[in-house]
Amino acid sequence: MSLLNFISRSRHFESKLEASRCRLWRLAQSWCRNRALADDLVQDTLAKALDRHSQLRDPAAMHAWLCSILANCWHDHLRQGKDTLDIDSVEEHDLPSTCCPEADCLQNEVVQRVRAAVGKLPAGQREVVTLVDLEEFSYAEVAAILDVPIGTVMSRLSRARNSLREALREQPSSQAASTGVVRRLRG
Amino acid sequence: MDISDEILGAYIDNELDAAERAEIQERLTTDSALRGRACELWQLKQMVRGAYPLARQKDDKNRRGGKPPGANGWPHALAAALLVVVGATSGWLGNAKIENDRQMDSQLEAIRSQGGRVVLHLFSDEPARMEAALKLADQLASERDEAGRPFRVEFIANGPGLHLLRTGGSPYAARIEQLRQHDNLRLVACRQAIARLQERGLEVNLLPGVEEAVSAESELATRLTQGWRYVQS
Repeated sequence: MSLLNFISRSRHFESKLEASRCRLWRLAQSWCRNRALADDLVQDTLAKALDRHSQLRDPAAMHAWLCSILANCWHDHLRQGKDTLDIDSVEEHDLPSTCCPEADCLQNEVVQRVRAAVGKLPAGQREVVTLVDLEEFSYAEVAAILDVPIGTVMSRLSRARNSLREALREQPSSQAASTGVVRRLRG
Repeated sequence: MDISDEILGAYIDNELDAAERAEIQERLTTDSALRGRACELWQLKQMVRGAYPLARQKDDKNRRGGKPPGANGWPHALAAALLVVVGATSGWLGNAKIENDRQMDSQLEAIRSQGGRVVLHLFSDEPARMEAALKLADQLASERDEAGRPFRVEFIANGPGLHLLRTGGSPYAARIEQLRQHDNLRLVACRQAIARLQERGLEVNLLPGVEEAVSAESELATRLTQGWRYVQS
């Protein structure tokens, strides 16, 4: 490969890395529930990806490859026992804003309840449910990213959703609030 | 046979093969308890998706200390929350399908009696399902309500359904071009679905006349709260 080819390939690689950054950050934040830690995990992931870019065989699978590096960084972090952060310290302003206070309120409530429920899941279940629902990976892709059998992906996902369902059922007040907004919007 | 949560989840996640999916769909038409479970799982998935809106690239750089951006129109999380509520009352999984003539007829009837406004959600690239959606759209776009106003039809494509609206891949480009002659029909592609394909290194070009929405969820939420009928293909 000529030097020019090599440089242009590297540039292309870096621009694709940048494109994945937002998604990686969202995933990291859903796992660790802390913005600063999510920043660190994503930085580590991108640094490792740049370092190992020759290992990426299939450019189309780049995002899955990045997610597997992120999962490894996150697992390393958990293993090092660094996870002393207060799990409730999610920053409330990390939400899109709306022009309508009522909608803001409903949105915050729903979002906070769901995030809290996801945050209470065991790490393995949390990873599977976010990789499937947020990143829309297939079960086979998730199995490869986390290096576990597909059966484990399915059982973790099922247990995660059972727990989420129970957790979100507990507070019916939100359902009433949501219906209120819909009625108001229709009227 | 009882259908386990794992299998039902795999159905919602589009992980089953055609035969397994057909079996679940058959059961869903007759088993209301199963329908309830499927609906709940689907809603959960939407809620998880809605709880983690994706910050856009350029704003994300200023993330510390500032607010990440909301989408234009409906913020994603609110759209997902609304879909859950509206979806629960309008029977997402139970009566939104058009997989056989009987379902097609009952949808046509319902759309006519509900003011002739319909949003067709394309979430699959299976030829039979695309075909059904095109047939329904073609029929409806030619009809008028009692006051003589044309019906309004909107296609919203995301996931594998985006294929229908792409150049170079859609087997229905000519049919779509014909549909486009109707002034009362809009073709809308989900920008998030486009971005996901682009991230995988695919080039995404849309057919002429296809518009982009911030997300399929926000567009669906808008239409459903405006009283449009929802049909899934």
